Amino acid sequence: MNKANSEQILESFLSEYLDDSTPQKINVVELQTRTIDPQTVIRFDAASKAADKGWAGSTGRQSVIAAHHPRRVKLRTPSLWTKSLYLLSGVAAGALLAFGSWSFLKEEKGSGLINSQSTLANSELDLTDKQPKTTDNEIIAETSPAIGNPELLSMDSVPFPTNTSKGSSKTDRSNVAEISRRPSISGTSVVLNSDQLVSLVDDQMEYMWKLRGVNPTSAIADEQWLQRASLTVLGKLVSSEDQAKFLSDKSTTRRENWLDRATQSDEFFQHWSNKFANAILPKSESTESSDSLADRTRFKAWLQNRLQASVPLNEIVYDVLVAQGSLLANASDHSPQAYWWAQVAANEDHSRATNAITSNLLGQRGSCIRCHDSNAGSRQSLSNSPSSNDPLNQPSVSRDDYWNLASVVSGISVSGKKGAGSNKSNDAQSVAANQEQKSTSRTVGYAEDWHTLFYERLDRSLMAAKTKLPNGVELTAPSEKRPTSKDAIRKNIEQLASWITSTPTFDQRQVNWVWESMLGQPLQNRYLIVDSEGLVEKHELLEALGTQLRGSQFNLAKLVKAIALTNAFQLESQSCDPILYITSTPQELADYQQRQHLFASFPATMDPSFRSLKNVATWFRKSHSSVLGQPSFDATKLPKLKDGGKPESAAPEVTPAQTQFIVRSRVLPKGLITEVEQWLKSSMPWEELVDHAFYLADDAPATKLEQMSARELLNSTRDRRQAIQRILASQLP
Amino acid sequence: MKVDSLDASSRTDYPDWPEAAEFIEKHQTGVWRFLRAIGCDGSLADDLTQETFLSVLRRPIEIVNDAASASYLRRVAYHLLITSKRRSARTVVTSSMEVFEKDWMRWAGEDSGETAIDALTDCFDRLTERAQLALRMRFSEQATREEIASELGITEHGAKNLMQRAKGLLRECVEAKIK
Repeated sequence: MNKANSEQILESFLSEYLDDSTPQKINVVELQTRTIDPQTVIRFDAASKAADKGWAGSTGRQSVIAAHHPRRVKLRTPSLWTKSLYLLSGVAAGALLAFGSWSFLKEEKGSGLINSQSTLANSELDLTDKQPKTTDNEIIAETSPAIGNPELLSMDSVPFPTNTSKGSSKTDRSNVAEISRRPSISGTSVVLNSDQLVSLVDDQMEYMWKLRGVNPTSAIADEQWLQRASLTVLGKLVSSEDQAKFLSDKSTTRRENWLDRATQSDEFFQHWSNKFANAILPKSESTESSDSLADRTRFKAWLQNRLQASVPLNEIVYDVLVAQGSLLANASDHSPQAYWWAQVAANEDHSRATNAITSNLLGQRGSCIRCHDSNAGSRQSLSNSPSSNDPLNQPSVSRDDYWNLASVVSGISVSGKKGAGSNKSNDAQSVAANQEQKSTSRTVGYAEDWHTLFYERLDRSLMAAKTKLPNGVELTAPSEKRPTSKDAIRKNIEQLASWITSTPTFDQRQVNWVWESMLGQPLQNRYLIVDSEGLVEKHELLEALGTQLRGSQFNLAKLVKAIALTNAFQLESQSCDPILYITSTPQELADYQQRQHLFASFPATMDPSFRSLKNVATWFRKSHSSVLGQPSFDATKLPKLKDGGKPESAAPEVTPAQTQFIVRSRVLPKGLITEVEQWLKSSMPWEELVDHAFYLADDAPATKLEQMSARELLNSTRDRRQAIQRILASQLP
Repeated sequence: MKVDSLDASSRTDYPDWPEAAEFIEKHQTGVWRFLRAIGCDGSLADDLTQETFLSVLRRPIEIVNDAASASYLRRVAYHLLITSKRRSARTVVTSSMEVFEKDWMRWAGEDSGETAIDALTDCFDRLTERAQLALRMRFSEQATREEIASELGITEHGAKNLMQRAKGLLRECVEAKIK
């Protein structure tokens, strides 16, 4: 029995006994009159099913989560207006858009990708024969009879735009003749060789650029390519010896040769194991500053060993998910890979663990679906979206699916604490010893006391989560009468791991983070409202590359090599020139942003200082007289330049980081602006608005410091709309 | 008692639901005591107890047995408390509701804590008069430690020790009785 709890209970009883206090008698009739609320949506199923399962004695883990992270769990009681707004507005739309591709999680819903995957085994296919016949300039989404017909816009009925047979109906686009032949991207149901893989990407990119009339920047020279490739593939500047060796290779395939050598080196595996670890681990929070460096280092070393041993990424992730044991290096059950669970499932924070699975492993946005039901408001968001004919907007996973996953995850238990080692000493040996001490005692295992997980819906009905995977597979549910066997929980986790690593969304997530590591931004943003350019084409490419990655047994080196050889990787970047940005017209800035989003120019090196909200808030506080301080910066209102001179009133005050920020503030995607308008119409308090902005950017709420900076920014701008847009501009990837 | 047949259209019939009063009466004290135990003052416990039953009346449950109903009511009550605390931007009272729930079940069992209160009454009488006085001043009159120390002619530290020992004895005594 817990002594503190017993004392707490004793004191309450003592207080009642000695103070002779008793509960106020409830007036039943009065209470009953208050129950009549015809607008309330009644949910009987959860409570009754929970009762059927005999949940007496169990506790609401959702409540426990709320206790730990009151800001993470939205226990709000929305008014009917707010409720409607939430359901019909862009908040739900954000969740929807973000989870558009979750439909692929439901394997029985089988898209072309699933079908193509099933044919992967038969890789002895004749590519030209098996590819669907294509036609010029065909965009199914634009001509589909489903568009504009709500009845046909269901998840099952919206066709994914594929290439149609030659000679089929023509589009009414005016620039039809200028658009290049659409690449046969959906026909990639066989494993392509490296050259074909590069062509696949290049063809799709070229199609995407020409479709929008975008001119890519020119290609870089070999020396520049080598420097860029060395930085992205090996994570280091190219050495003079390496450069000399590269330049002395006079063959036409010297880039390929260099990549072959590079992807076999230790540096490659070290660099990519670091990247991989960062991709699958959630971002550290400030409370984790005392995180054990030793544990993390051992985890990365384990990943590196596995990558070097050519273990496929899906098998590595499977091993991570089923890992249990101690993080202590000399423990008999030492398991360095258990670090992942230790990081995501500590303190019984199942919400964090579920977010890590949905976001870091599957590339989805758990933070939205946790509170908002994606099935609601789907039609509204489809009709309002600028890309309403985009099949990516298909509604798919419900909030219930999220919590069902959380229920499965709650079978994991992390015991022990991080050690209390102190890092006060600067002596390296002492620091290392302290870090080792910190790594003690954390052990990942299965919960002794596993209970039904309860969560609250927007209508405040309490739901009992099912132990069920999104593909419909029912797993062993916790027993409330007797402890669930660890073996049963282990099997659940194994099934969860199998499902995660076999879903196409997992493959696409792997491609996406590799792409982001090399080209500065993901091929497809999780939130489609954040990225409104070339959604369909990018998703097609992502889907095809995901299939190829699985087909190649998750050959990371092959994917890295292919991306490094694509045209997109070899384009010049556009530098951040304050004068250019300040003197550009809005259309020029929009074009610049479009090129960035479409990978038509290599992303310029971003100055990270403008992503610090504290910096942004400080700029605004100090810059009332400059362009930053203007409520709505407009380049056309700047003093006219004489003879091409610099605009004296603005330029000297604006740093490159600030100009980046200005540009981003001015050209936020339309979908995002619509989304912000929906937020502003709701009765959300400022702090929640800020949290939503941070969820869009980082999949985590704002920290206390960020909330303070956001408040400072609000005070400076005195306009919620502008302040929240500027926060988004600074935080979005 | 089955209330799952009550749907949205028939909820206006609640005044005719004869078991409602009985249901509330049976569980009211338990919910209220539970709320007190997790840190509510009497007034907040009263409010949240009402809200708890209101919530259940709005969303009827199938009642399997009293223990299951009590458990569900406690969960709803705790849920409401978190909402309330969150509205007033205060932290919640306990970090591990799961553990607390177990201890509550051991103390309050399935009779809303009546046995524990009886045991407490008996155990309290066994304390020394000084200990009884200290606890009465503390819990009945909300006296400060300084006031208690002054009344008993001891130091503040002594008053603290006295009450701690008394509560320890009470805890052991009550736990032995309710086992």
